[in-house]
Amino acid sequence: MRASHRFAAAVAAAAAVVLLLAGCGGGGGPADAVRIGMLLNITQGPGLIAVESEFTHGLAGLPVEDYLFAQGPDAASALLSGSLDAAYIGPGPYVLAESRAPGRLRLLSGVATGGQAMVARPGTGIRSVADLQGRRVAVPGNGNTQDLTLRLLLDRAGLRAADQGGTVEVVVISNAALAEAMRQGVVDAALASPPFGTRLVAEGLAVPVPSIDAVIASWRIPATVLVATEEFVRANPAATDALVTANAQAVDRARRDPATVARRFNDLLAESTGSRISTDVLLAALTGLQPGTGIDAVGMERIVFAADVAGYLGGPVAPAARVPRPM
Amino acid sequence: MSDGPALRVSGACKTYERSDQAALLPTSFQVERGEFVSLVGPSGCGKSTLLGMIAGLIAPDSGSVEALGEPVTGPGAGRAMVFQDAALFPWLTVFHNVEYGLRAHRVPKAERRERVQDALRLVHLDDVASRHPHELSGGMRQRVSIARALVMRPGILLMDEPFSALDAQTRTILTDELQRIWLETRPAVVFVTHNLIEAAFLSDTVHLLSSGPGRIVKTYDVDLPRPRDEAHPALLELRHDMLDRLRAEVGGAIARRAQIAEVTAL
Amino acid sequence: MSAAGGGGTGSAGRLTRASHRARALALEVFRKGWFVTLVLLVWWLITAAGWVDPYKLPAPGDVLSTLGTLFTERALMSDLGATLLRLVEGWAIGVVAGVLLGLLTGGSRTLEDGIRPVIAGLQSVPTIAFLPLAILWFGFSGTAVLAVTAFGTFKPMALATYGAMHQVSPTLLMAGRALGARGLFMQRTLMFPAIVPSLVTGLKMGWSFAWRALMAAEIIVTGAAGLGGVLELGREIGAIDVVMAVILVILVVGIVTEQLFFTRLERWVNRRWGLVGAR
Repeated sequence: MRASHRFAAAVAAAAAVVLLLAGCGGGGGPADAVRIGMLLNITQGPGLIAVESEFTHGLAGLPVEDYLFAQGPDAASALLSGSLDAAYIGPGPYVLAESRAPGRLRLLSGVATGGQAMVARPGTGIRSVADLQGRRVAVPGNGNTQDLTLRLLLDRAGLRAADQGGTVEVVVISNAALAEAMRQGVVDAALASPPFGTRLVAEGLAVPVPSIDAVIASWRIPATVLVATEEFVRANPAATDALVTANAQAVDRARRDPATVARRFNDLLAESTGSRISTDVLLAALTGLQPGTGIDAVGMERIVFAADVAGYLGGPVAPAARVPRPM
Repeated sequence: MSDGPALRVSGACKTYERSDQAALLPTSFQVERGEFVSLVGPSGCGKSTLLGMIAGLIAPDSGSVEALGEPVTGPGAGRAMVFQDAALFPWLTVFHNVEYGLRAHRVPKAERRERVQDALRLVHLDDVASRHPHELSGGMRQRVSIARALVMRPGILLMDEPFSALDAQTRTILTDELQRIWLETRPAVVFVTHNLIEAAFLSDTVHLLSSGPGRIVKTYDVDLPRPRDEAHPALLELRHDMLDRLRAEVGGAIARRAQIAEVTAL
Repeated sequence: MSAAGGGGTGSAGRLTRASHRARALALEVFRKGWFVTLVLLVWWLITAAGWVDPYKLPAPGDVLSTLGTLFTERALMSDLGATLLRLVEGWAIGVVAGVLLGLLTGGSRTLEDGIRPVIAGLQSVPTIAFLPLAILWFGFSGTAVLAVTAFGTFKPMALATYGAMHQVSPTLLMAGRALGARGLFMQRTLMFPAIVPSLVTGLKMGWSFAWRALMAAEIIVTGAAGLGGVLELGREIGAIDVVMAVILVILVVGIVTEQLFFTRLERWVNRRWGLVGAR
């Protein structure tokens, strides 16, 4: 008798714990602020500058709270867990989130396209994708836009990543650690998020690989997109509308005035790391980047394909989820 | 080895840091070569302190200890010690326990082997050489401890209440054994005990100590032929003498302590 | 369960013994397995009922199949092997270094009083804080991870060694000194074996500290193969099933090492050092 009581109590306790762990998350209904996440990455320029102008008076009466994330996947997780309403992220993290939690996020708009630059360690003689055979190539994170773009490059050249049974070792190295890794010769090349690749070149730690950059540019791969949670969009249509409009204005401003983007990025970089990057380097990094609200359908398709090839997808990504649906 | 006594204690005294009373007042005595001397007394009489000084494990505050003609400054090969709880090394076999001191003194391996076997034979434990201490009875452990000391061929054997943790029968047997072993090897022995009959039975000389502060209060010479019998009437008589003296001393000590307590209470 | 239910007259004794053994085994399986079974059951129930989104808590079956996929397609075995090798190496280096430092400096009050508080202080600094330093010294590679793992083990081992040395019976030390043991000979032949029983507990603690440091470092230095890298991959691509599969692997490794290695080692030491009843 006593034993069975104890057993029942244990069952109840275990059930309570698991439910507690599993059952958290935000509730629906109209919001009292718009929580927007973004990364400290120059392809996010429109978002970064919107925070100090377009967003300052709120969106349809709701104040904007901005949050800076270190990596796209963190921002995507924050969206899915209900701690963010919208975010500027790369297409990679968006596609992966969509494949695992279909219908939870909505692609609102394009933000910028292109801008990726391959750099190689001097002396490696890397001039084309074929030269990456047997080399170690750094990307800033698994499943982010650079990682997916690199896998696409390899796939087109008939190469494979080492984790897929190939010869090219794709290693994850954060933007902060990349310079040291390059200096130590741990990596031979890097597809870094802008402007960190350009900075390596400016510091003499790496040389550009223009032929690869040209291939990437021709693919018109989105660099940054604006996404919101479906829940937020449904409950706050006016704020969503205002967000899309404000983003379009910021994108337009970023296209006309790259210097503002450079200054804003440097301010934020100084705030979070205490260091700055020379304006020349930033402007050079921005030349390959095209701000724009459109999303190239083929470019997006390539990202989905690359994620599939890499084995990152948790399920299919619906065609409707690959194009922007502002409202 | 030079001539002269095995051991000369001259005015050695000790007061421990956190105590207002001397653990041992200046004490002097001598142990001849091959002599068996016991230090007997109640707990706190300074007999273990005295033994520690002779072993070189405790430094006297003043006075000196000279063993085998050399001043004592630390443990030495000429003096071997047997502890109350045997203090064997649990991870070593009986053989290796006995061998330990020889290893510490870098005795060559072949010689070590021979001496260990001799020592174990002497205490009748040559058949358990490969056992570990925890596989032995308390009495056997203490015999290993004696072998571990004797293997060093000490001029002086120091024994700190070696049989006090044993049951009465084992104790009687081991006391007999010790007499036999001592007669075979004849080191000088300083034997600390609180068992009067044990002391009287084994010793040539018994120093009776008293506590508060620790000091020698009387010395008895036991002039009986060996091997002895524990039931010898002279031994029983000696025990009575010592017991009476001890009662008087302990009573005195209690009275003194009570006096001090009264004074401090005021 | 009760194989000897009826029981013939002739071989009743043997059958009873067999049934006793079967029942004892069943009891042991229940005692050790009921909680795991319960957790799995509740987990399965919650996911099957659809109370939680699968991207937040995948079903047990999905995690298992992901685990299978990781082994077959991502060569998780080589990640596991790399991690275990690094773990054992780092742990062993840390253990040897920690115990050696303790033994060599614990003999002197001055040395110990100078060194011990520093290590105790370092112990409150998370080992992973030293990774950037390790990367500069040993390169952005598995060596830096190994160094951090070894350092993470070293600190608690040195402290455990100091602690154990203070626990050694003074009589035993006195006996050793009276027999002429001094200096290094004393530390090697007396102090070291005397602290082995308490060190076994320290070894286990060192092992868990090694795991912690190793995982934290592998998550950051993902260049080399390792479970930490897979864990990080799962986080980055939002695949919580991958994360859970890796946690499951770490858990199983933990249980296996505890049961197969540490428990046996402890039992052996206790027997050899006579710490269990002298039967």
